[in-house]
Amino acid sequence: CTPTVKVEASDKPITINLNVKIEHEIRVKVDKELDSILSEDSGLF
Amino acid sequence: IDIHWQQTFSTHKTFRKWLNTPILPFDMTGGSFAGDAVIELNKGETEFKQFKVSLHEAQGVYQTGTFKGVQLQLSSPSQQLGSYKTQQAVTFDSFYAELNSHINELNMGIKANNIDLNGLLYNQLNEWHFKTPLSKATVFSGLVEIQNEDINFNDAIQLELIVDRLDLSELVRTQNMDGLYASGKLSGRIPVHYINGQFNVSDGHMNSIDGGKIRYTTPLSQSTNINDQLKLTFDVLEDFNYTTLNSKIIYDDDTLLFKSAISGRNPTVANGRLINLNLNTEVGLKGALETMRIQSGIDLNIEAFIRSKIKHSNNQYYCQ
Amino acid sequence: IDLHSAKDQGLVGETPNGYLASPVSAPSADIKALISDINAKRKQKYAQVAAKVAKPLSVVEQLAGKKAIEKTSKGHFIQFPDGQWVKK
Repeated sequence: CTPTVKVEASDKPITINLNVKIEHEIRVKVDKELDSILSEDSGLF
Repeated sequence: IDIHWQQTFSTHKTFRKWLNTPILPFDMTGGSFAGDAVIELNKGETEFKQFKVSLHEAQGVYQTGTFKGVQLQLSSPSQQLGSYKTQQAVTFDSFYAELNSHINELNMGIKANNIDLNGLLYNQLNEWHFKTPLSKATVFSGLVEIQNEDINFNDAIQLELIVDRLDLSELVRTQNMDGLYASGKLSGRIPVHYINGQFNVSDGHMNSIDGGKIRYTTPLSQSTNINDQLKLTFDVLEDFNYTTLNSKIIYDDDTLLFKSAISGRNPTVANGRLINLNLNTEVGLKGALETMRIQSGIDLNIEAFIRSKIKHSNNQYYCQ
Repeated sequence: IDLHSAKDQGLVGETPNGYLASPVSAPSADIKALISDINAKRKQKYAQVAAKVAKPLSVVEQLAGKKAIEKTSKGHFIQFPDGQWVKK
């Protein structure tokens, strides 16, 4: 993420704009990994 | 006819198995269900004269969560309750009943505890209403209340949640993001709209009561090849003490957005100069709740409930 | 004995928490050895995945359990959350 920061004269407040997206698609990320762990050629399934 | 019933439930003898019907959107696997109803049958019209239902220490499961420790009483004063025309669903032209209920815990990924749901359930022009002077629950060690609401279930619903001193550290902990810690108490009001199956929130707000801390440490902050704006942001967030936090809450179509204006200082950055942090935090709510249900282990009960399709016989219900 | 024929003979089955167990009340020594060997390797893999997505190991184990049960072929054993063994 690329926050934008404005730093002005010493007494002025610093402004930080920050966008955060909390992804919960862990199923998607984990799914691919588990598919390979629990597969014929992994020897574990 | 005066009907009395009393039944206790277990994982093998559940509410849905007892009633031999899959149409209920929930099931009870513990506790007891009792009640009595006085019914008058004359020439094809059935009138409910009196009606009392109670649950004791009930627990169970529904599509997206589990509940336990339910004490409930639904009772109607003794006067003409409503008539039931044969071959039609039950029609209640003047049904109303008082509801007093307490639920120890409702877990949908996020836990709500000590829920008090009290009010009047009534039917007017064949539309069901629930009127409550005050219903409340404890969530994230804070209080969530609805006051003086009259909900018409056949219409769009508009409810205002009054939030008091939610603990930010508990809320943040549910997302278990490594390296993130935040503290402080949040209060505010969240007007919720519900229309044909969809929730949305357009102008909810929560504000911090008396300041708090935000700490976010990530290995990234030590790396050299990040631009200085990101570096400054990480430095600030290493130990950010805020005095005010005002958050606007918007929810629509599974996207929950907190637009927060936070002002505070980090004593070690720009020798403690005032910093205004405008933080937009977006969460996919369905995914978040699903992950929290998996983490709290209740998704197994939910799946067992969904899998337990009871094939009831041809529409006849036997009363033993 | 290899895992595939152990499953064919109904000596080993998949459970909801992503690990193997035996539907047989008194499994033989080599079946027990096979189960603990495979489970140890699975646990190590699950831990790596959990670290990568910064989620607790238990979450990955439960997702693995769902997947293993889904991928189990007809005639092999799977276990329900209440402990009951059933042939798919």
